[in-house]
Amino acid sequence: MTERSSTQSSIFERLVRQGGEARARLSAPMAPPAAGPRVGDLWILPSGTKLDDQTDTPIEWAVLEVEPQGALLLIPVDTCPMQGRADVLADDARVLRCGQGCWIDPAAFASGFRSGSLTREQVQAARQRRRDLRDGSAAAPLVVLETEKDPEYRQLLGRIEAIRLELEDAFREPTADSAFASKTAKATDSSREARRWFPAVAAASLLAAASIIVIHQKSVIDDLERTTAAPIPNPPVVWLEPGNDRGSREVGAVAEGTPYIVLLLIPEVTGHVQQSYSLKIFAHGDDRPLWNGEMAGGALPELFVLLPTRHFPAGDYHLQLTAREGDLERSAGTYELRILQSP
Amino acid sequence: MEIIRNLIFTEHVRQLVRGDVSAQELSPSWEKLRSALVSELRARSLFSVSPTCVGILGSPRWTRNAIDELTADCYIFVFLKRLSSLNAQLGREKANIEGLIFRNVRYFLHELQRKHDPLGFRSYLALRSAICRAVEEGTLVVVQGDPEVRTNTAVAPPIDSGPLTRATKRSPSELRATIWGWADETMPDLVTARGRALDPVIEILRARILELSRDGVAELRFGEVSRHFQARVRHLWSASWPRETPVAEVDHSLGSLAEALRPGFALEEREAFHQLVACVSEAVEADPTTPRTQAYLHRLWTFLWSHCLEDRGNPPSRRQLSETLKIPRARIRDLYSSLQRKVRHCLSLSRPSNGDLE
Repeated sequence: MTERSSTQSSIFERLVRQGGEARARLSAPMAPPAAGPRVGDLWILPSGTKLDDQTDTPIEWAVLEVEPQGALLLIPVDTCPMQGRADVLADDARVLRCGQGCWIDPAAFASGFRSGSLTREQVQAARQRRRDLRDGSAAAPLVVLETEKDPEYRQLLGRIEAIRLELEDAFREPTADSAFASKTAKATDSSREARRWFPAVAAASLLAAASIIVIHQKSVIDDLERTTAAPIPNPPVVWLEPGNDRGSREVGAVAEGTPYIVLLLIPEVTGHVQQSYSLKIFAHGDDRPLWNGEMAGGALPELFVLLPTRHFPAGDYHLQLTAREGDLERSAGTYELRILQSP
Repeated sequence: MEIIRNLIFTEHVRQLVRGDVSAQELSPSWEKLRSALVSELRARSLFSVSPTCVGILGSPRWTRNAIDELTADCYIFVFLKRLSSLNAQLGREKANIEGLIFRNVRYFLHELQRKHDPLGFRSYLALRSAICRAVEEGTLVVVQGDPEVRTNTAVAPPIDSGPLTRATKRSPSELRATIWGWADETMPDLVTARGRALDPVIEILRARILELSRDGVAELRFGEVSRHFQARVRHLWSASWPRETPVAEVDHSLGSLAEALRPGFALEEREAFHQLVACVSEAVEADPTTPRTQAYLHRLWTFLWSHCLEDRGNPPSRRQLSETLKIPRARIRDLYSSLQRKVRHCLSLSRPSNGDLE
């Protein structure tokens, strides 16, 4: 045993005292609540722990919403201090990754472990951040933008996303609960794949000067390349302006086999061309984006978007366009879209 | 016995949760944490520079006391602030949390360096981002070490990327000269660019790394490349500021602000200084001005507080500031006034009055 210096002895004394204080702050062991998971609960879910063990990225899950039918909106929580736009610092150590929410079946909690809880304010802050992300109004100071560029942060988010997908995959199929099934059917059957898309690769050359939404997943890219290689005869076209004061807004009677709807989005006027845009598309009443893509700003005032019909069945959709210029972001318009039932 | 020794952190968390830990019980995990910290300091090329780079003031070199101070801060970050979360992980009978503690040591130093060593952090971030991009796009592959690109990582072009243009191996001095050239090419933008403006710098580095890897250097070790690159960036930045500011050009207003900011060595002063830096940085971020002015403010503020930490004497003249920080000279007075107001406001939050800045 080495002799401790006086500096080290005084440090030890301080740390031992602070250790006692930290222990005193620990909450009592929590029993699973009889009524099941509640809003604000933190849980450790065994189905999402295989990857976190392998990667030393332990995740807790915070419950943000509980639907009467049972489906739960969860967001991952970890203790890495790096924070991007989508993240909210809950306490001294826990960070809520609000951009990685997922709706899952309550069966996921059967063998879960309740590990703590968030305050009402923390839950509200997380919900607000999700709304801000959805509206494109989440603050993006320079330090946050730099964090988002940091490979350490990107690798962390990559690991968290893999764990989230592991959990989603384990509970992909809804239970026999019919209400839950109907609630999630749209996302599960038609758009689940789309929800995982991330901006990366340009899709097609519909119009030479057009800006086309870009998406990521290889199978979808292959699909796009295949279908856009051939002409698309008379695709349905929808013209959308912000706020829906003008524009066609509805597309009706999409013929069987029509692969795409063409959207013409008119961004809010700024007097000059923006460098780039991001577009999110939500099913009506759902705060999970079905589509999350990037577009380069072009010479034309309008933006062209190809919407694959197999991922967007008949229904109401909400679109949010965000403009980026340098480090600045601003909302460039919100739009409502209704796709009518095929005859 | 070996297993028990390897699970020192895990056992320590259990002890912390069970009850009060004595100084003797603290010792094994302290030593292991200290050793992990020193390894990470070396990995980030921080062990060869002043401890101020991670916020430890009052010691120009890494003495035993300086390392102890850092280890204490790390212990609080890793164990005490995260005890609830660590306890939750052990609560589900996770076999051990050793890997998690090591990862948190990395996060601890990462955040400290980001806050206290903008120069070193920028160099590390830009170079690592460049290599990660090349790995992501497949123009380089990790052939050895951590796939997440760390000090022990070696990268090389993929086997099917075609013949190397030159098969000769570079000597260490040739390699160093090449890497120094990257720093020469990317400074001062590497330090002064913010947000997306850093992208072109990363792109230049990516291109240079690929050129080098195709030019007969079969494997590039991130640790080695990073060490040379950071050393050159620090040298260039330091050399860009003259040792002496001509008397006629001494900016007394900047000098008085720098003097008021300069921290003492006591723990309380150190913490007060870091709080002040954080407070003013937040105020700069929140300043409702144009992005360009905000970038100027940030540049000037980062320069001022790092200047104070390094205790370089009088700040440079406005001309020198303008040339090196790429801020129009005519703007510096207003920017300075804005910073002065922010510093005064932040000081007023922590103490009743301050007359030093008038």
